[in-house]
Amino acid sequence: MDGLNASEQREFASRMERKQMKEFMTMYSKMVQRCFDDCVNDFTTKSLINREETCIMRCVDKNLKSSARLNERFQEQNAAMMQSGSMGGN
Amino acid sequence: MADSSSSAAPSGAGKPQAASKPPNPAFKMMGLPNMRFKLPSRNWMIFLTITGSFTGALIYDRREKRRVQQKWSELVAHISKESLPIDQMRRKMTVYLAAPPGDGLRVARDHFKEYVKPILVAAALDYTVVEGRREGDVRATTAENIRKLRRKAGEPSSAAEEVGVDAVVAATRAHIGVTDEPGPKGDLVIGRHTWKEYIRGLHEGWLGPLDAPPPPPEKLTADTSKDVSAEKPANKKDEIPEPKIEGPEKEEEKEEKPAKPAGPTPAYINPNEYSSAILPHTIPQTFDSSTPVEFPHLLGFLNTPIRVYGFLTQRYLAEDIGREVAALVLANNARPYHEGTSNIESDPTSPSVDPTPSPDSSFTDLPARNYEQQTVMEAAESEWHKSVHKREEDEKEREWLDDIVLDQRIASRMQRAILSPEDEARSQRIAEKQEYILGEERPAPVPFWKRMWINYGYGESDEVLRRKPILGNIDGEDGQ
Amino acid sequence: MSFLFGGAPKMSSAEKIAAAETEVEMISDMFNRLTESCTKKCIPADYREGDLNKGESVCLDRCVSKFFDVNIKVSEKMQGEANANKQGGGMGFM
Repeated sequence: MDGLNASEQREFASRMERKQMKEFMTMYSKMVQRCFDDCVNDFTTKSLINREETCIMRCVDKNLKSSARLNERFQEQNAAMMQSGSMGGN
Repeated sequence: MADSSSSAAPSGAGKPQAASKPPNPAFKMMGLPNMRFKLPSRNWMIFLTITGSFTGALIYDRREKRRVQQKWSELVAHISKESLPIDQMRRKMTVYLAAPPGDGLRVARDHFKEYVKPILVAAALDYTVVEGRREGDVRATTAENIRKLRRKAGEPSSAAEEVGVDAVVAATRAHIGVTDEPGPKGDLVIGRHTWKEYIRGLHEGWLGPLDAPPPPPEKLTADTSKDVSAEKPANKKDEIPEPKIEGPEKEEEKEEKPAKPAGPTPAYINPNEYSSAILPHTIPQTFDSSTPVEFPHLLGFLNTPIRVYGFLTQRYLAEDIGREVAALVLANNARPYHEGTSNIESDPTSPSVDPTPSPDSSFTDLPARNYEQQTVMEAAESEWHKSVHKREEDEKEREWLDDIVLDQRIASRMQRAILSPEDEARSQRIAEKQEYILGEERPAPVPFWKRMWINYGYGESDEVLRRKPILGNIDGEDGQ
Repeated sequence: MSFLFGGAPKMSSAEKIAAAETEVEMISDMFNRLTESCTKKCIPADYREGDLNKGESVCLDRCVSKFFDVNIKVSEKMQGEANANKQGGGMGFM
């Protein structure tokens, strides 16, 4: 990631943005699938019952929070690995 | 049975035998042979008694131990159900583990994993382990950690900052905005030997200098070295005249060094210099609670009966250790360590009064037992292997053999975690199965046959049933 | 692991961008797998409340750490094998 001049960086940034958009959509659809799998299992009615609604709310909350926490830990560990990798000299 | 058929033939000759045992009508009805109830032979009886009693004692002890550990785990388990904000790191306890005298680190680790870890895991605590393989390791690491803390808090020091993995992680955390969970951390010290090193390291870290003092010249055969080493305690803080004398010895030292394995870094301050050291301004008013945990470790062939007894009574150890660890985990109540030989007060809130002997006299006045920290787990020292007590000639500091020397300023800041009476009562009720984890109901016991059916047959557990889709009455199969 | 083929001196800008993009893709792929695995292992499907509790938080922290350890160990081992194959001469496992 070093040695990119200004125009390359702009190109790179726009690509990253598109990629992030795609990532977000993927994450969203995965979360929908997981919450549906875990929470919804009453097929005697057409619309969501109360229990399932609260479960879905909690599911989304929990998954977002865990994703954020994992992101934090990932950043820390990544920084540590980069540093030890550069020191270990591979 | 072949026995009865073979005895049928000679019993025709021994008719009085058949007359003495009346035939059992129930057996005759069922067509079973007329078996006499017999005890096994005398030898078998002896064998079965010995093995049966040993096995029974063992099984009973292990069941009770598991039950006791369950009790203490359930006492603290409610902590793991509390919520934690995502930008906070869970409370990190420090566990001090040192290889016991005469044995390796693995024994200590196994002891920790068997007795202490279940309770820490039940409370979802994070912990970092300070390990020590040789005699002074824990002391050196403890003192170094305290010195790092002091340096970070702003005291001037000339030591070079080395950037390790921990520093990178800490920097990233500061950058992201991740803090530690508010609340006290804790120190868990396993074993009397570790406790001695811990106390020594604590004093060395807080009372000693931040920069390493010049290394004393080694004891060589030259006479000059003896003079220099005699001046060593007086000149520890006086750096300038030393290097000139050390110059000619240094080259010989360097040749010696590759031959000898490096030991833990020598202490920055001696116990007899404690009272003259200045207390740094970064020291907190009270330290976090520290709990010593017993670590019985007996070696020797002739000690085998005692070890077998200990092997069959692990439930008492589990109970005591569980209580200590649960007290530290809950962190509800802490008392300062007792001071004074005759003033052992039981009042947890007020600190005990220190009688007149000052720390200096308590050092020379062996064995002075003014502080509770000196007497804790003292009996364990008699269990140590005799090779530990042999002092070698090179006068290195022996943390395990020297008496514990406490400075009043540090000792008064130490605290010990105790279980509050409500928690004690609750643990009793949990043991009697009247209560469960705080805020939860004890799950209904699953009968044995059901468990077997679920695990090995076609049964479905409650959890699986809860997640099965509810389809209702689709094809009118219920006659609706 | 900045550029995959060990720092060739002169690369056209498209290649540089592509290389940087690949690197970012690798990292984000690793993050996705990590999230998937760790939520599957650490967070039970009950969803009793919307917050992470302490047990789950500690589990997630340790899961990330172990994931990275596994990553390092696997890459070391595979590198060792690649070197051994190279020394053995000829194509290894291709």
